[in-house]
Amino acid sequence: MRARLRLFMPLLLTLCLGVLLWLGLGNNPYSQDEATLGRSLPGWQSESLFGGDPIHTEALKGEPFVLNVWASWCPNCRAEHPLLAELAKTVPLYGLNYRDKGDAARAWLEEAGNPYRAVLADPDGKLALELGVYGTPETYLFAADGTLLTRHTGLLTTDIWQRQFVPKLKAARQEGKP
Amino acid sequence: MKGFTILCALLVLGVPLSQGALASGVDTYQFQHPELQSRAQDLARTLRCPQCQNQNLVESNSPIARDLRLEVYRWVDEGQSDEQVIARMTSRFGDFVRYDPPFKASTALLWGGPALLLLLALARLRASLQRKQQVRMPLIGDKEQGNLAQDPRAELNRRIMAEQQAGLAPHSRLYRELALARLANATPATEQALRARVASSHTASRPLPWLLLGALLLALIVGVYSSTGRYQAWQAYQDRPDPLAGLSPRDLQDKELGALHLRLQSNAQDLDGWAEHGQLYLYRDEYEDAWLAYQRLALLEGGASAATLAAQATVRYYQAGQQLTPEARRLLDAALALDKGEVSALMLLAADHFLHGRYSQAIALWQRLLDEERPRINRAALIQAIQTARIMGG
Repeated sequence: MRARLRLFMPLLLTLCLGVLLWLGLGNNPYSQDEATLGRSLPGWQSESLFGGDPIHTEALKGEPFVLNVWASWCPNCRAEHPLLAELAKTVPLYGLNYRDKGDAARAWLEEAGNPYRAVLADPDGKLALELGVYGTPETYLFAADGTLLTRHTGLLTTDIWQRQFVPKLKAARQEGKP
Repeated sequence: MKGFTILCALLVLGVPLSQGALASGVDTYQFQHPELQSRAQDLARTLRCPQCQNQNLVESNSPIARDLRLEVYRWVDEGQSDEQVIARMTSRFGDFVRYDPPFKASTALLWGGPALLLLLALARLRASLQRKQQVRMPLIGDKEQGNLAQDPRAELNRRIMAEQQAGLAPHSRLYRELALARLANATPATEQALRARVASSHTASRPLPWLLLGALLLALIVGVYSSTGRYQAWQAYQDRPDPLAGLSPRDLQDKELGALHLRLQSNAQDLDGWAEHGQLYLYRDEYEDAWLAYQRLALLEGGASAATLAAQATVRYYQAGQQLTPEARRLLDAALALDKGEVSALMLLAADHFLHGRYSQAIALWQRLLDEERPRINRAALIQAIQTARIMGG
């Protein structure tokens, strides 16, 4: 019996490895990378998408907030828009308009509604580069002092929000209340 | 991606491309310290493009790779060490951008796995070898030892009898007979001693093959390691540590700026000083100061020269985030009206064409700069830029 078991060991090991690799395929290599978490929001002055005074990233701080990187040319950004409108009721939500044409971006927000407290315009992707954005949409959760708590790349869903963001947001708010 | 595919196709077709064109990648960046260029490119090549995951920053044509590549070039040009650049990149994009992930808890399996597997395999090999050893009968009556022992078959005999005896009741006749026969066949004490000696001398000689195997493995590892050239690189690095490694690029620039200020204070008419001043501010992204410096230069020149106008256009261009604003356009036109072949003006125009994918126009301008043979042109860089633009579809 034991000899037979030994005979099957290589097969079992290969299966284990296969399962491990298969699980690895589903991993998003960016979102949970601890190397990027805990860094702080870069100080940066951006034009506002709607004109008026430029917005400095410093002005976003004060309480935990969400920064959503979006563009009007990005289908997934449009897809997650209804969820953003929901989230805006529970957490300060700011937008970063990434490599977009101002007119197109404004037209889209006019059509779909504007969930953002303010939108930083980043037509040449410079602030996004500082942040470490590599695609749209991306959603960042920052603490009150601008420390990056968690980030998600790609379409944001209610499930991801509940699982990945809400616990961190709650913890950050607890900390804010001494 | 497309450019890379074309490049591959060209290579397959055997179109001769110079090594330089292959090595350079996209180079719109003008190095302040050209000697750092190859180091910067090597570094960019070790960083993965976050967007198109199977290409490094130099190979990839995605806008983000281009921006990151230029950032890396700029940081290296500012005097940052490789470690500093990699740290800045990983703080933005995570360890993912490295092809060479650091050792930590989450990568322990990755780094330790192969060694672990090797140990496991060695342990198994050893176990199976030892098992075979146990089955083998010790030598007796070996000629070298002198013919001391009885017939080797006696041992076999004894075993058979012991086995048969085991199935019998101790008081039966056969059991007793077998016991007696066993006693008669028993190995004499002299032979037992001999066997013990043979066995111990045998095991004593065992470590040798293991030592050999270990040495072979070690030699293999050392051979592979030395063939990667890492040791030489480390040695070269140890031999000449960067004396300015500890200083931030900002500090370095501040020093340079301080020296310039002194120079201008002692001689306010120093035209070159003002030009350098403007350029330094431009590199620091302090556009208003750069603008001021070039205005002073224009005043001293008594009406701006073509070079000054072109420099002012460059300031406005970068200030607007690499956009040819109407003002920048006007300044450029003025510069070109004064001097049709003004180098900075043409370089700015070509860079703008290249940035916006108008490769053929960029190539035409660079070609013109090459043809006019002005001083202060980096011809190698220009030729590389032209080749790159051609590959990208010009």
